[in-house]
Amino acid sequence: MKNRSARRLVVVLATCLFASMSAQGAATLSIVGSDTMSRLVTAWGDAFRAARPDITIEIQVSGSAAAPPALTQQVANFGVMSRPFSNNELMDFSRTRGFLPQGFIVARDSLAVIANHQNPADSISLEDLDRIFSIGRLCSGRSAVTTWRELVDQGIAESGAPPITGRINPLGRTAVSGSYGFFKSNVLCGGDFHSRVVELPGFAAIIRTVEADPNAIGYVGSSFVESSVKVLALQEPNKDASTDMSGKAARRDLSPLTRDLYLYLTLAPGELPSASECAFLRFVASKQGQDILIESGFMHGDDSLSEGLRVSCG
Amino acid sequence: MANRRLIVDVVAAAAIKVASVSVLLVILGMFAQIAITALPLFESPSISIGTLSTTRTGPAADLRVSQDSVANDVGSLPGFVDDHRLGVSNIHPAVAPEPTKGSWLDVRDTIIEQLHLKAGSDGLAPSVITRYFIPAGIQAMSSISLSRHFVVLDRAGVIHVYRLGRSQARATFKEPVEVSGINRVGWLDENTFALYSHEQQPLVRSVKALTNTLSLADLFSFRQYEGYPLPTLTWQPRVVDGAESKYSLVPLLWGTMSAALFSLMLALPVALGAAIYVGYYMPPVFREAIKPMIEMIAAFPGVVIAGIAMLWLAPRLQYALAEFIGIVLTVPIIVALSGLFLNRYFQTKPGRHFSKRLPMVVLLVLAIAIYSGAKLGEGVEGLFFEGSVVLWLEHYYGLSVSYFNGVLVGIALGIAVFPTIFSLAEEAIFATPKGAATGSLALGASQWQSFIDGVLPIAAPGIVAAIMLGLSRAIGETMILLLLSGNTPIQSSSPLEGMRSVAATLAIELPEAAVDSTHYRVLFFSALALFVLTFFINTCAQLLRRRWRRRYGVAA
Repeated sequence: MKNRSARRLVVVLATCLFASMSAQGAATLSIVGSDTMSRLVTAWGDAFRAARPDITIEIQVSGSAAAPPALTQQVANFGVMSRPFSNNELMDFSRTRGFLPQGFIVARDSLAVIANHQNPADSISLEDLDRIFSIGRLCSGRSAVTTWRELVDQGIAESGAPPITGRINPLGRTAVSGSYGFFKSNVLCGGDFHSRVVELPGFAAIIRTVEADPNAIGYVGSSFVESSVKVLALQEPNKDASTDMSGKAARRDLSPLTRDLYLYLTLAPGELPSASECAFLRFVASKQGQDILIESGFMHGDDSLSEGLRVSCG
Repeated sequence: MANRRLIVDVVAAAAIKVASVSVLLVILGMFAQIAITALPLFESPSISIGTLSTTRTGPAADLRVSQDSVANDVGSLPGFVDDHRLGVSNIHPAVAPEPTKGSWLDVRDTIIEQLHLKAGSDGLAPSVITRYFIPAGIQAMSSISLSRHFVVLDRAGVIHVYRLGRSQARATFKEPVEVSGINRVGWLDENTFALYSHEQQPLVRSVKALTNTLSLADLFSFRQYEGYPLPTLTWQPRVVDGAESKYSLVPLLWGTMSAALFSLMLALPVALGAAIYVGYYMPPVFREAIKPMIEMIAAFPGVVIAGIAMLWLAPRLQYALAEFIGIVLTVPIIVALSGLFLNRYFQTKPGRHFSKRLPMVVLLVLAIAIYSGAKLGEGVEGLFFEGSVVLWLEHYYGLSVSYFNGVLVGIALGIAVFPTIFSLAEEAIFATPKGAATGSLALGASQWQSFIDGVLPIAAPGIVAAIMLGLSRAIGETMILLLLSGNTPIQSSSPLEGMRSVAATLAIELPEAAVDSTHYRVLFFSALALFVLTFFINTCAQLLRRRWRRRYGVAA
């Protein structure tokens, strides 16, 4: 665990160092994008490096929004994103390059809502999340919730643990993150985050904070969940049974916060991917690549990648 | 020989001149670059006659296809709901199949009202947030573009372009067009629209500087946004399509300044006290050992301090706020009292020299002071605050303590700026001519009197410079704010709340902003605003320094 994150750090640092020289040589692949997918991409990168030592692979995972500019400026071969390109990004891209990027759904994951183990709540409704995180509360239309007492009084606590009384400390990701936008669209109905929502640069920081603060609540990619925090089951507004998001069940398509994760490729019309790009894509679609995907805690994507491979790489 | 020395002299002088001029040029160049990037933000839009052909070739044709296909996913493109209502934004297909959820325009004959749903105690209710008046009456009107603009053609033939949320037209095409027959206005791309009629060719108009421009009022004054209960100063750039961008710089500047202020409140007394002691009282033997040790702290990168504070200090501060306050209040008192006592004690024993045992004594006193301060805080908390200051404040005063708060930022940032202030202030005090102190000592003044009246006036300009440098460091510091402030753009003067600083915002958002987008320019402008702010503070400090120098007759 420690070893992997250390290695990831080294990779990120190395990418920063060599970013200026990257994407020039034919045998260098550079991947820029989502922090959510960092484990997956790093694991793919490691295995691919072992299989094809002749191809250098550089990975930079700061956030989904880092991918479109990098692809537009042609400093990256692949962009990995936890959301599709937005209209503005598509416009910027097509204005500069004259065509549209090509995206594949290579994986799926879900957002897990986590709380401290001292927190007596075991589940939370999407409506209550809206009341905690949103300023306009467009989903629920009900009053804002600022303390755990308000939620506890309404019968959230069933486990008999002592109630916690402090003010809710909502944690989120910075606006660079695809998870930020996903949460905003799907939990806040497109409304704005309350200005009290803490923005942290990375899921690990959210987990560390939730671990330490009994009043905290936050969302993380389900592959990041650790046993030091508690995953809250999500209740959808129209269903009585809450969806169990803890453990393996989170990997099933049950969670209302499941989303597609994309791999973007920029090919001008008529252009085919280079040999090294094909090699990486083929690796991702291979059994080994898909096994790594499951091991890293993600779910399979759709068939678009193998379809695209058949068309463009033969 | 003399000749060669002369040549060296001339060459050295020239090199120094070139170096200093180039440094100046680099600074000016950077400043100009930032200004050039930021200032197109404030261009005012103007409408001119456009042509259809240029806007429909090349990438734009592709673009329109992509917009339509993506729009189906996002569900944020507007459409007419009925005869006179136009759905606008915040429409989420999964949650609200009816496009009126969120915000919409109610179009009447001479007035357009923008309504949004506001959360109240009994659910969402519509309320008007902006009114657009068209006195001549509406002849035709466009839908809302992706940059949230719409075009209105009035019956007098004047074209107005409005942005949602602003009742003044952003641009007006004064040259009236012949309105008869024109029944439809449509966007061709972000900056171009056409007026359609049955009889003739569409009239195409393009708007220069329509997108990616703002007014100063957008950045600095209260604005009513969709879904917000009241007009607010809000920083929330658009990340989801169709959402409204909120670019108020006030919370960010506020965050930067309050973080700097909290850090100085903690660092200043400690740094100046240490500087006075080391530079004036301490025997030079100790000074030579202690000064480099303190300056070592400056070698800690901000991220190290921030990391330690985040993982170690933050959780403890939540539970030990009372202990912390106890220490802050008790330590100075105990240290002062023990100083008094020890001084008396050593005066009665002439054989023992006070200063030789100093480090041990100081450490002991500090340890006792910190321990008793913590115990005192804990005791007071148990007796008067029902066991927890945090809960007590919350319960009786509604004051809440955020996990990431100003105290935490103040401590970490204070540690970062402390060595800067200490080092320079100490240097200023130590470098005062020895005669200033010894002269007044010889006339019978006490050490403290000679310091206040002899040394301090001479050292004051240097101390001010030290404080200014510390302030600059606090304002520019990024990592500590990024990790510890919580990045919550709230405007609160409470040190128990978080904040979001300009520097941290730049670090978070600049990588995501599309080059030359509004967001990108606003970020550059925030850097510029920060620069102006520090420039102002530094100028004030310089004026103060100059006045003091003149008053005490010290050569500048």
